[in-house]
Amino acid sequence: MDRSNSPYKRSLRVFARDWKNLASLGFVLLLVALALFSRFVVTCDPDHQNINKITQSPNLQHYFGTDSLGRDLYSRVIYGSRISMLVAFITAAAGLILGSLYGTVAALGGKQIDTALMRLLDFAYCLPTLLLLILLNMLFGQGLVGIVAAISLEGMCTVARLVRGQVLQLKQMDFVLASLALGSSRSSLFCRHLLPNLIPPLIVTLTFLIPSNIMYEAFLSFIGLGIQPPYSSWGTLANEGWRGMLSHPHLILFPGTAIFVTMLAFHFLGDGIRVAFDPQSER
Amino acid sequence: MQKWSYCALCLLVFCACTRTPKLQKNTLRFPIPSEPPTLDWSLSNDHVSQQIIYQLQEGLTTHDNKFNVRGALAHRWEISKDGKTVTFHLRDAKWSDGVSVRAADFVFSWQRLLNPKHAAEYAYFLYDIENALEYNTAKLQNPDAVGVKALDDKTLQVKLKNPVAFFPHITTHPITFPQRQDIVEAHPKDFTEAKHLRTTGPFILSQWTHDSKLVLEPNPQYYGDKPTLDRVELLVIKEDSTALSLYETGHLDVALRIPPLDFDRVSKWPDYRSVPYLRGYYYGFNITLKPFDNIWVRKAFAHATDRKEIVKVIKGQKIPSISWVPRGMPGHEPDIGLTYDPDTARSCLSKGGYPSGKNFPSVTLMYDTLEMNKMVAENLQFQWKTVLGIQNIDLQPQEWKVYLDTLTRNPPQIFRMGWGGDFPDPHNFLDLFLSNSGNNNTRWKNKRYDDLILAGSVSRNQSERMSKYREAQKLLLQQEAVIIPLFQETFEMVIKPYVENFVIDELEYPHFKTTRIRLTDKTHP
Amino acid sequence: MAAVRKLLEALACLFFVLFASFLMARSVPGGPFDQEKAIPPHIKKFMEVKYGFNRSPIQHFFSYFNGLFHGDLGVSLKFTNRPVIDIIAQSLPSSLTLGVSALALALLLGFPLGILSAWRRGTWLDTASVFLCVSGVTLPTFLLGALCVLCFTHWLGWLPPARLDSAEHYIMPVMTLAFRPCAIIAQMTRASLIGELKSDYVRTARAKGVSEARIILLHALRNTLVPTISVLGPVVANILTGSFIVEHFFAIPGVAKYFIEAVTNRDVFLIMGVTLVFAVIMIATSLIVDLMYPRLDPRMKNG
Repeated sequence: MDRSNSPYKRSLRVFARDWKNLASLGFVLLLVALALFSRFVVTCDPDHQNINKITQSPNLQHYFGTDSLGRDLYSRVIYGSRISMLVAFITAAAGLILGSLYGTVAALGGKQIDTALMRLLDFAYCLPTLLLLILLNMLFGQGLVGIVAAISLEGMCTVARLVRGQVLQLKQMDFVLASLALGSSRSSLFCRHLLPNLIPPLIVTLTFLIPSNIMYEAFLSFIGLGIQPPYSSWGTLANEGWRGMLSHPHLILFPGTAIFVTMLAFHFLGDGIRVAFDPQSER
Repeated sequence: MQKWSYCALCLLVFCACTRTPKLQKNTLRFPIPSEPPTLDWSLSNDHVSQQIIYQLQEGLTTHDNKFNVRGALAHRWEISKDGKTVTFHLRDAKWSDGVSVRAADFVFSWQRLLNPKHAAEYAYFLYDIENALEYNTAKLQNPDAVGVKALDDKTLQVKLKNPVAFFPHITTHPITFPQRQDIVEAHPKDFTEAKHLRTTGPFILSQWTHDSKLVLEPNPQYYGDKPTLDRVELLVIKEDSTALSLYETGHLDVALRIPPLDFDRVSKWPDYRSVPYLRGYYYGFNITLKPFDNIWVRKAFAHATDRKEIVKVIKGQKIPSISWVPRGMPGHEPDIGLTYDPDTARSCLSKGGYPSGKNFPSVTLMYDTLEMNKMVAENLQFQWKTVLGIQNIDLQPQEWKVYLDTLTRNPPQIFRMGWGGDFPDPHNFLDLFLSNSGNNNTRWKNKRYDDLILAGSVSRNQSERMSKYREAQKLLLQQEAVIIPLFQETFEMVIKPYVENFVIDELEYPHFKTTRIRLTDKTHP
Repeated sequence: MAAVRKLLEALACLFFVLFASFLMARSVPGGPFDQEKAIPPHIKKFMEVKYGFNRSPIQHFFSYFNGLFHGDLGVSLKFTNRPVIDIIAQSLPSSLTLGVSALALALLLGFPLGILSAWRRGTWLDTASVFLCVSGVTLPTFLLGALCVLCFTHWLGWLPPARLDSAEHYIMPVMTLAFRPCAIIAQMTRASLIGELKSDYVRTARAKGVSEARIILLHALRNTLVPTISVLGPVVANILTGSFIVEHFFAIPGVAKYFIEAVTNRDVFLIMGVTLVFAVIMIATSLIVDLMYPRLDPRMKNG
């Protein structure tokens, strides 16, 4: 056994062992930095239109070329990362928090509440995802709110199921039973014992929720039901690009690559974190 | 692994060998943007359906290429002295199954159109007929009270409530085409399917694979010149970019709408053509909301709008226009409206109380989510920012149906809208802004405008009508600046060189009847 | 007994799905009869009465549900008066053909790919296949479709860009649709096979000198079937979602593209019809997976 027996240190060590994990973590951090500090990275105002420079191919002045209104595509892709990331992070966080609450309430609230809540979740699972996304998005009006609400709800269902399972499992553990026997209240039980044990699986879930939410957002925007101007995300850029694909492939290739590479990075990161938190991963 | 790669290779080779689509001689392959919602012409309400119905069926009258009314199934008609009775005399024409066309077919069709049970949207087209409104609103139960009668097999008499100058124009519209009572009643649910549908026009519907393809073939019973095409295939292709892609790979003979982003490349081809049609695109103000309750602000915006730049941005040869009634229609007045003039725009804005855009309140501009609308909105936002110095114009796109709902309930300060012609009379474009019009989202109510339009519609003197309409347009566009017309739409299309004589008219009807295909040249790119 | 209970649960689930979608579909702003040229108010009222829109959404739902019991799915509002059942009957075959061929292709390619990559673990073959799988999972379907069209139609000129007019038209849509499920299946197979190969009985067999191929094909493979079947549910869901993009992309007259078309037209009964079809497919798949599980894995019988 190792001397440093904190599970987090151990996981960190496992995580750091694989260069792929570090590379993807680096890339994700870079993306976040790009999104936060886009203003300093872009070469010009992403909304500046120049009628004389419509749909130029990539060149030295415009690294990714220009779009149908003569705007610099490089700057737009960088700014697009803000919305894509923002939506992905907010929805993942919202899904995580709501889902955890839902799952914990189900697991700790007694048999009837549990059955009722879980049945509801089962039903929600049967609703076609696509229909849910489209309809919710329209119900909330097509702004950021609609999309965020729709995607969060989708994530919430997954998280709730997972958390409930975890809590039920933990409830049977000796240390929880002991603390219950010693008369601690439910809330203190939750904060002291359950929450710390829930964090690792939740982190893993988070790293999978974020890319799948990026994908949902891109998908919704791509079919024209997502983010609308003045905001633009990678999905909207890809949608614009698809329509002019035959004449100007660069319009879809750059935003498309951005989505793909980001998804790839999050995928490896998520995989790395999952392995790192898996107690069996260290021989 | 090797086996798989071998199979994949075989597959690809197979594809490479068979990629040329099989061609049928003398067939025109034409794209339609959606499945036609219905081929029941009494219930149709959209251009896709009506474009197809136009090939299959004819009405009492039709237009020539200069929009003069010409006889179709009626070879002549008389209008009584008081202008209230129109008598149509039918020619000897036959339905595609050989049955003669009778006046009773029209009576049946019109009574069916007006029957409230069918809830036909376009029923109001016939409201000028005596008792039509009453029957359609269920105030009258007896369909025979409606002023349309078959005097004999070949004579149709129509009684009007008041003289309507353009009634023979109305009977060119598909909504007024005759129906076969025996067929409709025998197959109430599916008489529009290829196996049941009977028509009198140049083509018959020989196949309708829903959602995918319709096939038209010449009608052997047609009274006029037979079409030279043996077959027209109408292929359902929703996205314009897909249609262009199919055209380029030789799966289509015509592509009607070139996506803006492909325009630069495609417009260099010899196949390219631009054809205007009667459809205007405009921005309107909700004049009950600040700051657009102020005429000077509206004028400032209109003067600050450079239509030429918009047209350049959205590509194609759409016709920039400061006036409202489109080109190709009587009553088109190209000079009525407010021109692009940055200096005047700025001085108008100062007069409105916002010198160089200072303290200008935040304004919402709405449009429906379509690529072109987005480009126009983004460009106008930019133009007004540059010319007027107005920073806070908020773009708010909405999904189409939500948008329509918003426009009727609670129109935003600025909105975009379009209007397409049903029949070539200026009335069709100007009655939009009447005080009680269901399509007037500007909330502008002007008694003088209403009077002018009414006077124009009842007068039987053409030049007097036009002068009334001219005055009305000045009021709408110059004195009050209620809307900013932007441009008239065009079909930006490509046609294969072997397709000759293909015409698509200003009412958006293609004429397959006269189209021919030069057989020797039907080769592939 | 368990099967009957599961079936009842599935039916309850279906009812809930229909109820919820109906309420949502009715409460989305904008109505089926709104269009550019406003309809005179009294005609609009006739239309609303004709199709039941004057009633409250809940009353409306129950009259619709009553119709369902008599096999009446209602009529389309956009495709005037065309029975929804006809629309589905007409469009479902192309969707099914696509979906089933994609599923078959995904199984046919994904399974061997997973086995191969577990077997040759650590070689370049494994690396290549893992990379392929990762891109399969991370590449959005719409990008894949776009890349395919660009590559095979416009650069190479091999395949037609859209529609289903002949056999070659199927190649691109099926490939696009199958890529992601194929990757999921291959990943799952690889992971579980690697797990199996570490287990005691495999070590014993190896010690006895049984060939690796024999171990995989005769012993380990059977056990990897279980987890692979468990991903079948998500895979089918994936194909359903993907088929929407693919049908839209390749102008295919299938049922999935009605999801968005019907919603944008507020064609309530058509939305319900399509939802019904999809919910039935989803619920049936998970039911089948549930029922197949204990048969394949004896351990599941008691749990």
